[in-house]
Amino acid sequence: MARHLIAEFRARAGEYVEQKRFDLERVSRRVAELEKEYGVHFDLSSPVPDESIGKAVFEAGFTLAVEAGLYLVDESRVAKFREEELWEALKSARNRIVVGRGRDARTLGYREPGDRVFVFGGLAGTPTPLEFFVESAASYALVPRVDGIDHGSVQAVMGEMVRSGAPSEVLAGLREMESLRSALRMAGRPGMHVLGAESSVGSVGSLGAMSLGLLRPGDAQLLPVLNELKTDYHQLVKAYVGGLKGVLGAALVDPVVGGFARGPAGSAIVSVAEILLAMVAYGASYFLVHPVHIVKKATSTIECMWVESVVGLANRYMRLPLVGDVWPANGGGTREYLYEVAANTLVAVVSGLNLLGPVPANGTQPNGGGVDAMFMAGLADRVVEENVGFNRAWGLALELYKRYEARIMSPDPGKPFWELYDAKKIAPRKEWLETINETIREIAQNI
Amino acid sequence: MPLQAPVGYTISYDKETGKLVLEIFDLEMIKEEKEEKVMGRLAELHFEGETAPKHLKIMFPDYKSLVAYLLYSVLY
Repeated sequence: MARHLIAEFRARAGEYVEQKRFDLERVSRRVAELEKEYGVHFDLSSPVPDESIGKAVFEAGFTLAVEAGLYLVDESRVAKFREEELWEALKSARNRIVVGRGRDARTLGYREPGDRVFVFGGLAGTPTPLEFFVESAASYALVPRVDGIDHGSVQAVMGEMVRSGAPSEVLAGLREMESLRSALRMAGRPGMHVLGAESSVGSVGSLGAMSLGLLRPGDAQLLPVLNELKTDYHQLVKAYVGGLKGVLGAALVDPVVGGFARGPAGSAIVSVAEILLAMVAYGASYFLVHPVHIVKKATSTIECMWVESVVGLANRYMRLPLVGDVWPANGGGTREYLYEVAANTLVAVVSGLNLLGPVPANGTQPNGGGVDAMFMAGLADRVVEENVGFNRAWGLALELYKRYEARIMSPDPGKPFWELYDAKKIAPRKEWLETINETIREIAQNI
Repeated sequence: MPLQAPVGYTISYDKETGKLVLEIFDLEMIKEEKEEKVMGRLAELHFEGETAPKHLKIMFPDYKSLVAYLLYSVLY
């Protein structure tokens, strides 16, 4: 039986729990206990994690997944999975998958720190105007080092805002996918892996795109785990249909650091639990690790980089294809944005994560382009080639952090794609390239 | 240790001509940095000395031609 049906039937027959009780007792309280039981701590004054912490985070996360289960909000009931089932799912999970099609296919896999980094480029769900959607997507696809694309979302169609679950949401999903296909053809990489249907909060965008063949085998759709340890029928339906159509599931694991998952230590434990539950309930093929700070948001905060790092370390015991999201607070055109990207990249790569991004301005404005992903990928490759160690990478990241810390809470969103790029030539403007190269030289000289 | 080389080239798409454009801004720098190795080799082939122009711009009808040219530069 398909995993998605198992999750549904388990939940329907499972324990009824009020959502608030699930959040406070099954998640928050238990996570606090697990932090103590397994000795998982985060210390802001000394934030570089010990590499040995991965085992404790994995074991605590595994325990949480078994004990708490996955909450199905439509039923207010919990789907539980036995310990043996999780182990079996882990054993049978693929740690390497081929994504994309034909000559544009690439391998996305579990990686040791010295392995090649799979790079996703794109604005990843950021509201992006249709008039610049193709050009901005193509700017990422034109970067040879970008292996897959996860681009923006369409928020308005025919002059009207999209409404969740309505035909307008289907249309937005279709427009997004048609535009992506045009962009990939333009760049000469039609078979590039697409993580798509970002325009749909629920399921209708994905379902529409799959039914019309715009989301195809070799592509993936986003399957969020709802905060925290929750799902709904939209996600299960999408995952189920995707499984039937050969469309991969990309689980989004985005615990709120400072929310029900507690601080960074608890959020790391919750992340592992959500990865395991997404694997067993969605049949997800790869996993996006995206801690969101409750106030500061960006993945480049110390707290969120710590979570990404220790989840990467915990993955040594899961060996799954994990991807670290790089979502800075600042945006394209600013130096702070580049510092954030560099710090986040350093930490993620030495922790064993692949990369997705960078997504500027906390994913709120389309203020970036493909050359930003080139900057990120160039640094990732250099870290791998030079065999930069875990502690050294963290040390460099902390040095960089000093340069943008003050701008996390009051970020400069930067300039939109059409100001950073010549949209007719899909080429970065000279000023933006110069800022990037000056920043690279500055980092090389001073850090 | 300089962790990262500057971004020394771009591949863009000219919507008016429908061509892909490979642009290397400083052949000497790319040659020395060997950025992504293939580009380094290409820059080496086109670099004609310190006093010669260091900027290179080539247009390709499609992606396959671009890749073929890069392969040629490696094999040459």
